[in-house]
Amino acid sequence: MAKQTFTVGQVLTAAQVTSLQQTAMGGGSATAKTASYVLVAADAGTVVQMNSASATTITVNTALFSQGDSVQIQNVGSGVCTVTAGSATVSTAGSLALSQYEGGQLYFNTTSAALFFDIVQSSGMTNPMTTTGDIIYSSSGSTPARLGIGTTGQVLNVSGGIPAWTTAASGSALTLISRTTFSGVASQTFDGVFTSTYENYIVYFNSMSAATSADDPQLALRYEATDVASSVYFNRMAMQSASGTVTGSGQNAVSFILMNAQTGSGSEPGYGAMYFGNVGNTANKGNAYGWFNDGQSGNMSWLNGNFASGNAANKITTGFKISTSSSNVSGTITIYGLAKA
Amino acid sequence: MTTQAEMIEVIRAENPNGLRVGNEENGYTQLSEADYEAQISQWALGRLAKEAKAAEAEQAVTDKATLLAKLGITADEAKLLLS
Repeated sequence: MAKQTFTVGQVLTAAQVTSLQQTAMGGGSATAKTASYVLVAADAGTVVQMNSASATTITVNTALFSQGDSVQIQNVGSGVCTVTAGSATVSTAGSLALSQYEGGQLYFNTTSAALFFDIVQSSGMTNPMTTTGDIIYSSSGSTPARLGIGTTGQVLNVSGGIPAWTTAASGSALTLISRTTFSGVASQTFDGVFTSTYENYIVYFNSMSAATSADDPQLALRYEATDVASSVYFNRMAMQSASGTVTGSGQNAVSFILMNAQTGSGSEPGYGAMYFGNVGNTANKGNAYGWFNDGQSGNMSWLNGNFASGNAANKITTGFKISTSSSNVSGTITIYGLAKA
Repeated sequence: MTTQAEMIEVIRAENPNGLRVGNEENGYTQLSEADYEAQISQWALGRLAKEAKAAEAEQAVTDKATLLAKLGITADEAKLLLS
């Protein structure tokens, strides 16, 4: 209901009360406008609704409205409607330019100074994500954009001013490939740990033990989940710590012993490390050497050998298997790749 | 001399709950009955080979001692002869 001047004893009709109720609820009768419009005093307490496909203005002049008067302004047209200060001032913390379906309340602090409280219809952010692991980032114009998940091992980087998953720079350091702990297993395979990413590897053997003292932890090279049965040549030299006696043996077998037989007891686990070089190198044979001790008794073992690495006929080594000759094996094995030069 | 069947029984007794593969990170899997039998059989051959090698080494020591006794010399004296 437009602003009224009521008199003493006046009886309101049901329609008037209903209209007043609508106004009190923030609604009220709307005056549809289809072209630019200049507010008049009778607009106080009403809704001025602009509906135009073209840009329009609603002008606010002074000396028409009293302090405390208000006018709701809405724009339902596709053209931008701008609340414009005519002879009155119009202040706002938001925008006086109203896009379609935006609006606000024009409130008069004085007859010549109005405040505009705009209500912007926010559509919220459209979710650009489609796949598990997606990340949202701000693209040009602060538009939400999707960054799909990277592959295993990739790191979040910046490329061209936006985030991007990239393969970590190899640098010159060792890169952890895997750390595996196994207890009382018939064998433990490490397939696919030797890849084209590296040619040289360091493998650490911790707390290695066989289930029976008659056994020794041993290693077999693998290709496509199968033990490599030929072109593997390893020598092992073992020294008894008490006597200093050194014995050597060739181990041209599928599985070659890593540590001294006395490693057998679980209470005296063995430790050691091996270097695998030229793995997958087509020009040279692969080579490996290592050193081990069996813990408490302090016996030592050295290993040295080579294997067909890049010759497809003799299989490219892609991993290895840990076992013993006749019982279960336990331990922790950590594999590092050394960055290519 | 232990037979393969006897050795299989020995190893079977050491592993009454079967055999498993796997690790702490990804969990363990019990070997199937067929794989268990194949692994036990393979282990028996490995242990028999080790037994045979140990027996062979022991026999060599015995043979050497017998020969030294027959010659009536000590091991050190034999080394002196060969030096």
